[in-house]
Amino acid sequence: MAKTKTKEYHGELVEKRSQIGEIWKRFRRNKLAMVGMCIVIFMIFLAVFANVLSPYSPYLQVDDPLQFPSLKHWFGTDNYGRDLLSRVLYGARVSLLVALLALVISLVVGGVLGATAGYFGGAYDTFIMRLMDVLMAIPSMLLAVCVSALLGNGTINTAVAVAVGGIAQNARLLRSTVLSIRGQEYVEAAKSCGSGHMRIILRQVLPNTLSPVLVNTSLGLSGNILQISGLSFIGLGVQPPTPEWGSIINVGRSYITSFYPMIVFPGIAIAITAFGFNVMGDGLRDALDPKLKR
Amino acid sequence: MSNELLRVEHLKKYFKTPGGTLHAVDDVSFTLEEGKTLGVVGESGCGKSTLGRTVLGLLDATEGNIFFDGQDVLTMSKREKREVRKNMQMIFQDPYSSLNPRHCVLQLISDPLKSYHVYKTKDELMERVFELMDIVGLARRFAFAYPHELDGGRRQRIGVARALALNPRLIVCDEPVSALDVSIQAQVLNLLMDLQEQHTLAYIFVTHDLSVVKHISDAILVMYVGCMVEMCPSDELFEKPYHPYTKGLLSAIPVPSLHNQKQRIIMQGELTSPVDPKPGCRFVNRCPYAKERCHQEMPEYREVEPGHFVACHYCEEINQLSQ
Repeated sequence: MAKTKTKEYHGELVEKRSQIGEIWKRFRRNKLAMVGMCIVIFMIFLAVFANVLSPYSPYLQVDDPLQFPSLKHWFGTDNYGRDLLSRVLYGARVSLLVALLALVISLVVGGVLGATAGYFGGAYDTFIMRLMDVLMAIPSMLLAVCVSALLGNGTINTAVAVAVGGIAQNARLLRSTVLSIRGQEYVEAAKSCGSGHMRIILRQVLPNTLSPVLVNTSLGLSGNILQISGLSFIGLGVQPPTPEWGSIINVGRSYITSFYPMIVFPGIAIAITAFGFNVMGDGLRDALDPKLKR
Repeated sequence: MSNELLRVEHLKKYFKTPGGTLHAVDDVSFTLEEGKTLGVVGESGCGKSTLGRTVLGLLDATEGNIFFDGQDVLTMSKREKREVRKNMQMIFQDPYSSLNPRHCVLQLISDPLKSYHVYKTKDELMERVFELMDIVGLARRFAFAYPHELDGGRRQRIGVARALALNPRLIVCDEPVSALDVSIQAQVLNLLMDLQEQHTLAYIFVTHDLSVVKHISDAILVMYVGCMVEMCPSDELFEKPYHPYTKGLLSAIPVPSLHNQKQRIIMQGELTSPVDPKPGCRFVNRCPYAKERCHQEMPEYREVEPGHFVACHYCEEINQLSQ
């Protein structure tokens, strides 16, 4: 049982349900979502404790290159003879950090622009959305390359470069959801109750945009990981020898016919992470919707 | 003498549409006394809801004056307006869409209290919310329920409680019962009437349901395509409607009897478009008495009998009144 407090008001017992407790209760019932959350927590755990868990240094040549998995090297070794398991573990740090950072940036910037555009409408809306159209017109990879070249390499710069491509998408999504919510009667009711714009946006509109945003966000994460690897591949973004899942795969591409571990293991890591986030995002969306209770 | 609470003078609300200017509310004037109910009736799209919303300030009036308690609301500063608006609340038509699905009853009812910072402590706020729930007859155990868990009547009670929270003096009810079952309609209407007595509330009761309006109103205002057509005390309207549109409207009330079928006035023709309407009476296309003058000239809104206003050139002729 989730925590339910009963409190007395005027001699009457009222079941007080804490909102976070309710959400957790609903989330827990969704087995798939719990699996997703475990995966996400596991991946974060790996990333945080990569230095403890790794058997070797991810930067040093420890054995002959291109060895297949063995007891000594669980995932084998890469083309320079570095331990692949260690590199994949350390890679979780970079990939997760940059992907999440990019996600947050694009969500916050795109979200604020789109939500205000949808809420206020008029010339402001037109201006913002035409700006977003310009962003949309440029392929996101090209955009990321441009921004990355402009800002230079580095973790945060890479995150920004990847985020820029997502801004327009998030802005559009938020705008359309806000537009549909703005027309709802409860927004008008809040207005007639004396709520100002800020209060209406924060209390009435944003909570109701959660579902599409969560889904989009959890889907976007895997795309971000791949885009980061793409940037690394063309020499922008995260620089070698920093281990990063995408860049390991890109290097491994040259050996794809003869040596599978460099492709398969980081690939599995990306797939599992993406799956975990997607499933958790779905479950979170359902848990946050009070209508789906019981 | 009872005191005048609201006076609306020549209120106009136009919307700009790609096809032209839509005259949603065109030159509407009325007064409302404290503790009284004005019913606003008319068919869909005649501007009844827009009228209610414009009076409340949810929509900006294009022209005209609104005096609340003697103060001109439209010329006020934003801050003054906000204070006055505390006294004017609204009950919405659809208790499903007018309640945020992500807020529980407690949050919904406390929203106006919070946005006006009426109470400092949480306990005071809770106490007030529970008091309001008692007033509207909503069991306290629903305090943490979400709207989708409740039936239509209970939901509408939340809407009523929310409107009452700030102790308003005027409530605009925008078809508050038309989305409810008939049995629950009666409950909510009785609740509204009880509340009116206890709190001396004035209502502007917007509806298309004539039997409801007869039950609750002191005076009735009939609208047709944005214009006022007739206004008079409630009983009088049902006894002697003067305007041909009102006659048609009233004859559409279903009579629950097999033998006493009354003669219906079936209206012919189409509704005049409210977009850039032509000069002349708006009802001219459907009026059985229409003459040349009706096409040329908008009928003036005049007092035909004491307290009975009609907008029709030939009102006396049609009704064989002595002038």
